[in-house]
Amino acid sequence: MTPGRRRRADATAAYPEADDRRLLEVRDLRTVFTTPRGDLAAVDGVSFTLDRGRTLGVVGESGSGKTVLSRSVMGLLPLEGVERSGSVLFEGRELVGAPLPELRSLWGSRMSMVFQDPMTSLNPVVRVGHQIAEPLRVHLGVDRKEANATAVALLAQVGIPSPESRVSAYPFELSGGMRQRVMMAIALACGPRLLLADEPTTGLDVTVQAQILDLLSQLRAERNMAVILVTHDLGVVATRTDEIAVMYAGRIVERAPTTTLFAATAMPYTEALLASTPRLSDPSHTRLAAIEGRPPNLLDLPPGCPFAPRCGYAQPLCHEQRPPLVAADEPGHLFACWYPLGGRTGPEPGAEAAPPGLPAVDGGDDADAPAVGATLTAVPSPGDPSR
Amino acid sequence: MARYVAKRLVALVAIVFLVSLGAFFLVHLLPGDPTVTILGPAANAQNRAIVDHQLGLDKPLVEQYFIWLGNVVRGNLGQSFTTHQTVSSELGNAFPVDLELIVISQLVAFAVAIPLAVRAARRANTAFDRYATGGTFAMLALPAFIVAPLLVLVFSVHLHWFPGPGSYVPLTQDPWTNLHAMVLPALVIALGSIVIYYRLLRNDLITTLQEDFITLARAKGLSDRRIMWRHALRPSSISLLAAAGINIGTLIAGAFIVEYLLALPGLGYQLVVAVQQDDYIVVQGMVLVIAVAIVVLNFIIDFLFAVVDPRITRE
Amino acid sequence: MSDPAAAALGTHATGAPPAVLAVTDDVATGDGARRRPKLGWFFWVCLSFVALVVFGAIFAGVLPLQDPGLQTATQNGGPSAAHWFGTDDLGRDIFSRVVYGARVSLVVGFGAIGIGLLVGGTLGMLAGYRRGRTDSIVNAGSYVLLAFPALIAVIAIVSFWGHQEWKIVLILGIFSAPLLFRVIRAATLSCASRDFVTAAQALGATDRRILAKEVFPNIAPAVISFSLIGVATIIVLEGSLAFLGASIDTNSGQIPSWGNMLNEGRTFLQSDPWLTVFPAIAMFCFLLALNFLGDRLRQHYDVGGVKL
Repeated sequence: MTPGRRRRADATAAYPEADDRRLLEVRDLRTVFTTPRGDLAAVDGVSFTLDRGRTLGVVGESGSGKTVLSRSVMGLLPLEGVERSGSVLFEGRELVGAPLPELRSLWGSRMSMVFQDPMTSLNPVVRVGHQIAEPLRVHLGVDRKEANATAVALLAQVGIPSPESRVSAYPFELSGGMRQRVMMAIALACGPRLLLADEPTTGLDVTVQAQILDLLSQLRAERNMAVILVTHDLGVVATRTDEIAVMYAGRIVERAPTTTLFAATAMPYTEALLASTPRLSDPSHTRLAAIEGRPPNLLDLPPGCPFAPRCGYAQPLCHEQRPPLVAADEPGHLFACWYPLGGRTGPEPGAEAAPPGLPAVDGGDDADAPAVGATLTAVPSPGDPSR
Repeated sequence: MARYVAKRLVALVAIVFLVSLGAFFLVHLLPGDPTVTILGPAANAQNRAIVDHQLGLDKPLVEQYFIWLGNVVRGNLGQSFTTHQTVSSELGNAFPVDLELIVISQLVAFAVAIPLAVRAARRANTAFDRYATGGTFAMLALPAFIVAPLLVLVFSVHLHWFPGPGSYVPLTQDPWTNLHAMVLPALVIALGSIVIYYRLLRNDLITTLQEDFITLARAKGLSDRRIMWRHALRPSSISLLAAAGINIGTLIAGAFIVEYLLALPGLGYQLVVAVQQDDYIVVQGMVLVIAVAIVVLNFIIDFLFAVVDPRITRE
Repeated sequence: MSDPAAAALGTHATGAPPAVLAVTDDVATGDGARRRPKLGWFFWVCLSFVALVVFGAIFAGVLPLQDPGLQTATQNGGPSAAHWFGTDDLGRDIFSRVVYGARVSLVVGFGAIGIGLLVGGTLGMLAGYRRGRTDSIVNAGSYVLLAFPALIAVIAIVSFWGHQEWKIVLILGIFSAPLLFRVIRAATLSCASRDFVTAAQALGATDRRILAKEVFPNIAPAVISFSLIGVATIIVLEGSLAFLGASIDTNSGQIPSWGNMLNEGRTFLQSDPWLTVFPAIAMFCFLLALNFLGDRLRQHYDVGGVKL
């Protein structure tokens, strides 16, 4: 057992080490920002669940609300001008409305976040080792010497060579990739159950990106963590997630196990995303199949499906009514579209959305919930992305 | 690094030389005839000629300058006409006063300004912030010559908490009276410094708090307090130290109004008195020393900066 | 069967965002769209006050004020209907003396800064723009001047040269020049390195034209805000000078500045506090207004503290 996985012996004893509980249950999460121009619902009714050891990819354009989502799950929002509603159950504990000190006791210890830009996210005037040791000392009460030793061990875990000398370095002395690894070391220091990675590779070189993502997968497997991987880049999530949620205008518009998403895309937006990613196999000078138009102004959403103005398949109904999120035939696959792709039948106009968090199976008692998880693990495929 | 230091040293010497020129020739613009001052009633033409010759005042100005410079380099700054003490000894007496004044006032200023700024920056634009910022702003509009007599009036004359002007006693002689007498002057100076430090630090902190690494610190679950004092304050303190250095440089002689009003025998006070009494040798020497001190201080600050941030030396 | 996801994307493709970039900032980081801080209502209050004082100072002679030099019988009187601010020990009306005194203080303040801008400002723009040898020399010169305990020099010069108002303005102006030089030079340096200046140069614009049309409008806000604070500083400086007897000589019958009045009033603090109180209040309010205006302008135009 690596030193970073010490168990805590204090305040959270109120809740038992419930490994049988679902790790994360998000129901109808809404985050509304009060701006001078009106209320902006950056996250508008998002529901999903996540178990330990699973990776959820959250994909969307800038402004889709994906970063706000990750922050909202944690609760890491500005103190003023923001309203968070709905329910976020982490290990059975409700986070929405929880007092700040309680949230703080979780941050950095049970749930951690890795940020996008390692250059600006590390304190430039504090040594790297100190920054890693800090959560250990604050949350776990580890003394300085031991925390330092743990920091060295963590640096080794994240693949930084000669960690003993690196531990006293300043961030500017490290390369971008190494800084990102340091960030991961910080996030992992106290052995969190949930890791939220917010565009962890966007600021890095292409070659380094792959390394970081591999590291992430490896650590997740070793520690049996749950990971939420937020990115705009489908290529990142393609091979490294178990499930993908596609966001648009603050809502999840399609959610499916990864293979299903690529093989049986339901929503036109997802299809457009897939199509617009440039591929090395394309001949040179291939036109980029960009999606026309721009993401909607969240302050002034048109009625109906928010993607309709840009959708190539839009019908009159799409501009009038907002499609609910309903289940597809494939297990664990939800989509929000009146006229889904792949020869499916869309929901009836006026249909109810699937109960939040669960696919629209009959019943809806908890007996079904493990089934979803079970189905995810049971998806067989030689190129299993959750490997 | 060594090249950088060497370059700056050369500049330092050049500046000091120019300052000495300025000090010398400026002083010789002063009206009044020192010979007359010395001789007093016995100032007839004959005596004046003798004294002129004794003082070397009959030589051409440029030659006088070099004689003076030569003396200075050997540590002889001349002698006061009025007190008949050497300039060096007067400086020696005055310097501890300023040192004590600066130390006490800056300590007070930091002790007040830093927590105030931290608290204000933490909750920017709330009531506390507005009051603190507004209050310090108002202090800007209160010059020393308004504050000092006011404080004396209230605390010395009416309340009798502190002794009035002129009650300075060296620290070695009587620590209690000394400190007692220092409170008001230090307070007046501290007020000015508080304004500078508070505003600088508050704005710097607010900017720093927008940085990404603060968000990371929050995500680590650190308390606000820890974030402010251990993460936000560190980068901001660099500019605070720079401002402190400049401020102290200004205070070396700039405290003279306070010293004059409260009769504190520091450098500024001695200087003003010397000017008023046409004691040109004292003025010359003191101006030189003060200016050199300021230049050296700036040099040290620049040097410290270069140590902290090696990128500067590559300029 | 290969992984359909990988097949859909070809080899591991990263980097390109799949769609046209969005316009909205990510609100969660808190940065959002940085709006210009509003000037605020107090700004306009201060501006009106400054305008009022300036107006009063300029038109003092025309306004229905009592003669500031006229000695009446009501000595050391408190505020009354006839004398709004009371009278001094010679029976002169304090209110009109304050207004006339404003004229003196303002002339010194704005005059000195004006001269400083003229000398230091032009030098600063030239040095910052041209750089090279001239810049190094003038810059070094400013270092030297700044190292001087300027006030002592001012006292010395005034003692020698004379206490007339215009001389004091000139001297203070010359001594404020180095600081203004540094500020404007720094502002010009940062402005001149920007692309639109290079563009203008490439189009063949003369230096003069560039300085006037490209550089000046961009550094103007910083200069204005710094100058306002400079005026406040000069007024304080003049007050300090008055306390040391090195300011305008009131014995020669000239109207005293506010600083002079404060100095004179010191001896009468017990008997006639009005002599000190009203000029002090006037000075305080004016300085506050100037500082606030300068500061707000600086914030509004997002000019950071210019490094010296």
